[in-house]
Amino acid sequence: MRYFLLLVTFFVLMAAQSSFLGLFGLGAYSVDLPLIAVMYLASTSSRRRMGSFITAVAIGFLADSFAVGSIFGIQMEIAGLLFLSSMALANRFQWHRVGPLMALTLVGTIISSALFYLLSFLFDEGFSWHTFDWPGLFVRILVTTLASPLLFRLFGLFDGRSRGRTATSSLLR
Amino acid sequence: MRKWLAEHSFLIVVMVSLLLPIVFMIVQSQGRNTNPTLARRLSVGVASTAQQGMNSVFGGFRSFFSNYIFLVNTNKENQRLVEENERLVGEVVVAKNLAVENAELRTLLGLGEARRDMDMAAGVVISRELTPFYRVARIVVKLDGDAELKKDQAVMAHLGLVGRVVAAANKTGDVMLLTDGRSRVAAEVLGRGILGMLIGAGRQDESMARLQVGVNEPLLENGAVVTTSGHDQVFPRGVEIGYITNAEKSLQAGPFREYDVSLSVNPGSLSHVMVVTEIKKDISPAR
Repeated sequence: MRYFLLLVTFFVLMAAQSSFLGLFGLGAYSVDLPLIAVMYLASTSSRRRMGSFITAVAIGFLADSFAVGSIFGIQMEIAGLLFLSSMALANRFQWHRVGPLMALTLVGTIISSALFYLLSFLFDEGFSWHTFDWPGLFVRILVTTLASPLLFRLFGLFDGRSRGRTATSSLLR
Repeated sequence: MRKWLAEHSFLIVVMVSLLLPIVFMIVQSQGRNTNPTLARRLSVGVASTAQQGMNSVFGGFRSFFSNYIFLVNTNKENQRLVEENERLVGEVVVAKNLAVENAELRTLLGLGEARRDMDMAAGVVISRELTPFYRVARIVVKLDGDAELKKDQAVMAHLGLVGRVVAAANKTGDVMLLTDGRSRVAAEVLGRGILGMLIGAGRQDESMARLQVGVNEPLLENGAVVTTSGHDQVFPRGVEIGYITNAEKSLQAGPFREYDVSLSVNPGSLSHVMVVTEIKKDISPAR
């Protein structure tokens, strides 16, 4: 049930993101939501690794669904790999503190972007380095890093309701 | 075996989950199947539908806020639009007046070119004198160009005869209209060879004149066109005056029969006229 609610939350946020940002004229400043969702999942799933991992891959699948035109499977692969690496780091960092969380998000965004362009380069015939949007990538990394505490809090809000507690209650206090 | 699977289930799931997307990507990159799978189409369809739904919701919010809440500068913008609207309305009025004036001048120019038997000078109606019944009783004309106005010069419009100059000073003069009780114009019925005299009715409530012909002339019917005959040496021949109306109510006055004539030119609508400065008798009138 928890994983389903997380998937629904992620799906709604993905669907609403561009429209919501467009409401304030911020359409260009989109956030790497799959990354945040996967990192949140990894940081709060120390016991049920299997279900969390499948949910992370499902998040990647949904992210692929929203990326019409790109090679199907890229986001799934990235989500799976990021989940595993986040799991490995889960016990070593204090995810529920703003500073470490933002630092990890920054690294995660960079890795995620690198993986995306690497996989696109390998499997997408239409991919060209000339179309590489460096400023857009930089903005996306920055915005995702800055927004990660808020989004963690948001995911924690929905997730905590399904489990009767707030997973990220210490955030932003 | 079961024990091994149970121990390594997470690893197996991870391997499968990571290999499966790679297989997807390899298949897509090699172009073996250009059509998207059913699952792909379904997921994309659901995602795009959800996005459209969100777009509608947030679009509704956006239009609500922009139309009803965020009305910053709206008053100022409205004021600017009102002022611009007033300016444009003014320009439209000016443009319409210019268009009417242009059309009138074109017709007058056509009249000047058609009537080679006389020299004409263009003039502007600068004043109108009204009767108590709001009929134009007299107009004042000012000539453009170098020509000067003289007494007894004929005044015409493109539709027909207007009247004659009764008092002139330099370029400005009073014009006695055909409706004036003192007005007399030698006239004829077009195509009938019937000569007569057009006399102003002198009525303040309608723009009419009367055509006086000999009592022995054949009876005229409604619609018969009356033109100048040129016998008075004031008006050139062949200028349209009007047409007979109420022929059945024509009256006999001594040796004459009088018909009502409805005039071609409405003096109230005149703004430009042509004044006949010279009649060339060696050229026959041809329109």
